[in-house]
Amino acid sequence: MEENELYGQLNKIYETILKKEGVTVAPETTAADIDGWDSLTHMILMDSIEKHFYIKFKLMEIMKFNNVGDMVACIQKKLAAK
Amino acid sequence: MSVTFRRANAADKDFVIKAITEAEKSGSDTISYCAVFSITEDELKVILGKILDEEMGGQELYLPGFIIAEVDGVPAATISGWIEGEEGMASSMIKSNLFMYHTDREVLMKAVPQMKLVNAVNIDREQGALQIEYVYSAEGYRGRGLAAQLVDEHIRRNREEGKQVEKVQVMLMGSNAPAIRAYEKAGFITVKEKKLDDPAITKLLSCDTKILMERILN
Repeated sequence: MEENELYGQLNKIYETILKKEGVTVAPETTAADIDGWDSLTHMILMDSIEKHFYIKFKLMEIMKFNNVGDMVACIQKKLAAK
Repeated sequence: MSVTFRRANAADKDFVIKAITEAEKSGSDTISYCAVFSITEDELKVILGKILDEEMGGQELYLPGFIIAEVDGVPAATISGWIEGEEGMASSMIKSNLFMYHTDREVLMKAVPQMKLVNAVNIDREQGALQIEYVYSAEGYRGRGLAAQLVDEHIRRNREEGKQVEKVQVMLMGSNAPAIRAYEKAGFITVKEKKLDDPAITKLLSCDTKILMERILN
């Protein structure tokens, strides 16, 4: 999947979970940059992302996500391995 | 009475789980995790065991983050401690990841409305401050000042490791008057209070108010 398309799909997931329109995540985006991305929302986001892309993150993978870019790299790796 | 201190290890897991569940009750019969996730105490203990096995620092459910006070060679009391943000992530975020990984996903997602309520009384912990949680003294060892000694031991060990510790913080339920008095006696003052005006919260927590107390260190 093209990176632009992946970010587009992620934006839609974030908009749905955060109940906000126009949410745009970029590689450098962190939880601190997005109002409402707290520990609970984080849990729901990760679950929704896994379900949307039919993937499963490992605990250590999630723990190493410093920003959205790290997560996207992990998603791409998992999609490529399918 | 000979008191010695050491970090918890795998052999202390049952004692630490007992400490977590008893501290969670906070003087009531409610274990918030059980109420939020609609699980039994035994099911919670299994989840806690798996989380403690991860040995993930920067949050309260880190096994070596617990210091054990032994009285005459017997584990008598314990407290968990960590420096907020020391792993580059908020403790609440690390804990979320751990629960997400070790709790049945369906159970977790069904608990979202309850978690939202509990989140509404959560107070953010201060970055860089020493946090203490799960203060527990076993029966027969209460009233001996072990908790205060354990807090001092956490401060001493962090400083020995070269960490700048300028304040200690503890989060308490507003209904836990004996604990609040004990912390006040130990030099803590209440700095934040959060109340939720929704009666449903008292089915999940032992009361509707959380308070953050802190002690500034010299």
